[in-house]
Amino acid sequence: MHIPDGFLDAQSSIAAGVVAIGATAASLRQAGRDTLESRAPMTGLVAAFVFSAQMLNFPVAGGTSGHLMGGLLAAVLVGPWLGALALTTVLVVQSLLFADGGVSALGLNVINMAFVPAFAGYGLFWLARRVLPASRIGVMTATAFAAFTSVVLAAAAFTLEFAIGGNGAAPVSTVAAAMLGVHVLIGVGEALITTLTVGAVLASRPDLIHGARGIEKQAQLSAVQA
Amino acid sequence: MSWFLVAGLAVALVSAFVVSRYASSQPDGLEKVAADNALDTGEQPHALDGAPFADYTARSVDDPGLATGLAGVVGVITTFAITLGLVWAASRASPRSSSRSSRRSTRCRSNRNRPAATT
Repeated sequence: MHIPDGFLDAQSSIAAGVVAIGATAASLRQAGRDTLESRAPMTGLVAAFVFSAQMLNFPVAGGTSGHLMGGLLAAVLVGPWLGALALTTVLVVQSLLFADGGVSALGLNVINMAFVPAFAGYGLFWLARRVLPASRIGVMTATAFAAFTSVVLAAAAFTLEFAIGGNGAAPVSTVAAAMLGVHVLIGVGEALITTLTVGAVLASRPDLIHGARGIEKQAQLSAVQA
Repeated sequence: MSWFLVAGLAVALVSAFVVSRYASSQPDGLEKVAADNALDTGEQPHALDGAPFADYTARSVDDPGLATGLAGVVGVITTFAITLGLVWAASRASPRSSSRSSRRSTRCRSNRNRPAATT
């Protein structure tokens, strides 16, 4: 979902750039306040894993492909602030080193693929965890739901940006239907890969998962009671 | 953390180096929608199209699978290093809050305990 240069007009791209810089600065400040240095390797690993997974396009219907976006995965693993930072690094590296995603569209891409999934997506994950049992299955169900929704939300964010400053002449309703249609399918892939990954970490090092903190206590509690 | 880190990086490196060559080369969701609806009328070529790893391809390598794989390895190492450095530097740049100093003392304590616990 990397937007190239020239899809949106200059004003919208610059405005998005300003918003993205502000959000990144806030994330760095938050990381400075809340984060122990010991979280740095895990956050680096999350960025490296998401970069790698984003290279693996899988086919979806109608001659289209999709790949993991990874913003929700990152937020579940290291929390929304560090998760958004990890995704921002990935997007900047992709744009500047691999010419993927326009340099002028970097702000738009950071909003859509780092901050929307890491915050809106993580918010939904948090809500889902509140109504689901504090167990592995509960965490994985919340992950699947939020991962799927995060892709649909990112597609909606692009549609909104297109409505504000798109250079194409297509009606917004057409773009919305097309974007949501294909990203519902890609979202299923996102949910699958994200849930498998979180499941693998839950099975090996559940203590490393920011979004699974409740179940650790639960497990200790039942271990004490048993 | 260390074995987990090594295993995680190994997974990322192997999938970037080996699996990436089998990735679908069909347009992604946005590219397809853009092409179908002429959203790309204003599209300009990427400013860094001539970069050594542009389009996830190591320019100096002839074999396409290897060229993609090497670009992937460069990307995995770069994203890991930059993110690690960024978060490390941000968490070191200490704002002078009292919660911070109390946490720092717990951290020092746990650091002191760690070698004893692991050896």
